[in-house]
Amino acid sequence: MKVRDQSIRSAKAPIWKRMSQYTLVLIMLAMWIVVFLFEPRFLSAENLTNLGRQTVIIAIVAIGQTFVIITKGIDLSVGSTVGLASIISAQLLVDGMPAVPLFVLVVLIGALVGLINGMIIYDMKITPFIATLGTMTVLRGATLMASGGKLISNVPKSITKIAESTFLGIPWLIYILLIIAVIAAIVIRYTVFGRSLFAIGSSEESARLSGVNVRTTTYGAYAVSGALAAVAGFLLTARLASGIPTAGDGYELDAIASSVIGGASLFGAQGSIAGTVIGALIMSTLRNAGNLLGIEPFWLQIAVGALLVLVVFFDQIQKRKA
Amino acid sequence: MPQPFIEMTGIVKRFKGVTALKGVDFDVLPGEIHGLLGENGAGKSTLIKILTGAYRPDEGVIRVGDRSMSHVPIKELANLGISVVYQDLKLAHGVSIMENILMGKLPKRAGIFVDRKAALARAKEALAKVGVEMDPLTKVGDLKAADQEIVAIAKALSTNAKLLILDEPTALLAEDDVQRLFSILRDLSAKGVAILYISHRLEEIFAICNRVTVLRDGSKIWTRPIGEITKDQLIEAIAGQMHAEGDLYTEAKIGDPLLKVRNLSKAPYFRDISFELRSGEVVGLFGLVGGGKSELLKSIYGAYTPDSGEVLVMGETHAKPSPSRSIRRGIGFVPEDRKTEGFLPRMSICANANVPSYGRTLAGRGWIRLREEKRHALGLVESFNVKYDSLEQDIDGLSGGNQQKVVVAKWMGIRMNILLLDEPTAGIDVGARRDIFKFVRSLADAGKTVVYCSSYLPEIMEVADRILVMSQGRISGEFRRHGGAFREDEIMRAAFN
Repeated sequence: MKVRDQSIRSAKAPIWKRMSQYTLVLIMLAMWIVVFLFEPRFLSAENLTNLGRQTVIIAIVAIGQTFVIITKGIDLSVGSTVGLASIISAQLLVDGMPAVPLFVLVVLIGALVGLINGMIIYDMKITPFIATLGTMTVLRGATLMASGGKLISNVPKSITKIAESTFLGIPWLIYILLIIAVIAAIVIRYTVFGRSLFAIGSSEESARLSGVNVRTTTYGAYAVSGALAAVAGFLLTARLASGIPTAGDGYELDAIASSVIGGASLFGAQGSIAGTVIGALIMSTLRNAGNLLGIEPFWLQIAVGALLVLVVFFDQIQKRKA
Repeated sequence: MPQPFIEMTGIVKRFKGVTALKGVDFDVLPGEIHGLLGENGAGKSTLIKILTGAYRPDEGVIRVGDRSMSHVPIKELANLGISVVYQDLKLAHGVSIMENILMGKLPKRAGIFVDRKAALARAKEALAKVGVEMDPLTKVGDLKAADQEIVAIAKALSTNAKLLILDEPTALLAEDDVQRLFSILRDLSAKGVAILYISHRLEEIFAICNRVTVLRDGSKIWTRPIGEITKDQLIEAIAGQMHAEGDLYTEAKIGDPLLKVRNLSKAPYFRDISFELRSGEVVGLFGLVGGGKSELLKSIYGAYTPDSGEVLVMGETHAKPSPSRSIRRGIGFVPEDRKTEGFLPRMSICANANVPSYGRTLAGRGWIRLREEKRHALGLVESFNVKYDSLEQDIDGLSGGNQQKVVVAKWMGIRMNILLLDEPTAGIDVGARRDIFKFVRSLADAGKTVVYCSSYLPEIMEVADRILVMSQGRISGEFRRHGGAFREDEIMRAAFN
């Protein structure tokens, strides 16, 4: 049996799959080296900390998005959920609610938003794009209405400790991301729920006929996405010490881009947490380096878009060869 | 006798080691309605594909009108006057009748704008040729099945076809629509259009055809005028005198009933179906395509909800069946359409073999252990002789036969007692077919029970202990082995009942 396991591991088919993640890491390292040559400050502890902080929020949203993309779905409502969570967190902090129960409450609200998405998609049979486009618009409208379109800025400053304090020289925010990423990776790899995400992303009907519970898996995927978007909204409020009704605008696109750069496919049944985190890191590296090098942010936007298309294009070529 | 419109002589077509047509002579006269019959796999579709240029024959000559050729050039099909209406019609449901009829050849003005007037006139003319009046601007998707069929025929005739090939045109039609279609076909034939009519329904053949050709195992049995044959002669020609060899068959010990189906009905597919399956037996479910077999299996399995009736698993009522609940009670199901319902595309062999097991046997304490998972999948595929490179390889890369073996093997991973197979050998090679036969018999030996559903009789006769015949949504006969073999002619008669 042991010998066989060995042969399984060294067989040829899956190599490109792993390759693409190595390639991703290589692309990122190459970017870092190039930027470093132009601007040595890039690799300073201060900037790396900064880069990490910038990555965290989008990476957390992108991890949730990956759950959904694996099922062949898409969640456009995450940006609005970030905004909603930001406003709710800020207002309740102002009202004096302690941070821990507040965090739990906000995560539950995010999960509920996701559950509603799941119900619209599974029970009302509306395609994920339209369903979440709808909730995205509704939630943003509701957030703007509840806040009167105004910033909530009198948040107790103590909350910023979450975002600013460090442990062993590394910001707590990064530990939070790592914990979330590890849990997400374990769920995807070692649980029935994780395997079911891939099965329904591959073929919903085959999965159903093989006994996969499509309903709970769909609910679950969107609930995870909503909950993680809410976590991101909470952390954003903690970082900025204010609630911003427009917070998270456009995050859904960054999250989707991170997942896809990280190897997820909108055709479903493909994607990994490690890839997604690296994808988010590549995107924030581009932005960070652009700031350092004094490149106009408009150019950066162009670069991010081009990168997205290129990465997917190379991925397609690799697959065609395989 | 008039000169045939089309004449094929000595047509041979081989596919990797299999000879699909073994020197067939075939002709169609102008203005006749010619029935083409044969079991699935007899060579009908190969012959049609040669007639329409999709395949090139390896040997033989085809003459159309005054031209002789070695194969039908697909681009000249319309010029030669050959048109086909496939079983699935191939119409665009979202656009109008007019646009469907004139698809790809809409009359234009100034090179880019559609000339609506001319288009309308031409569409009306095409419909008039079929002798019906319809508003050419109606969306095809809004028409009922029979009218869609007529639009497809009008479209086929709009290229001035002299030979119209109809592949099972009545499969989805109600009886009065069939009569309407027949009167249209008779009118066309009176105008000199030859019609090649393919159907499994013998009474239709007798109702409308002038001559009949029967194919069996790639050879032509005969072509005869309809007036000179009886239904029994026709059935014998289709089925042959062959009896099952049964070299794989050894009877297993028949035990207690595992599954009982009582008065199960689902309109419009089947009604009032009752039977039971005992431990140690393989029950063949035979019937023509579209006879309601697949829907019956899916209703037992819980993928469809039946209108009435009940299913009992090991004596207990199988309440509110769903695939998930069925699996928990030990029922496995291999659907007919492997690609969209059977396997998980773009996923590994390992995941495919383990899908039903993950939530049941593999994640005992909530977690899937990777080593355990691999060992489990390996056991399943090795026991089934699947040819593969790696368990991590995508299942898409396997041959159809090996894909199907994985799809069947996955049910060994759960505590399965009842296996429902729907056309399990469709499109797979002989070797894989034998492996599946052997597997089915080994299940019976192990005291399990199998429903083996197929529209190909010889196959069922090889593996089954008992055969239920389904015709038009009802069980029209039950047959047992006589001295180890089934009587094919009896069974065929029940199927055409």
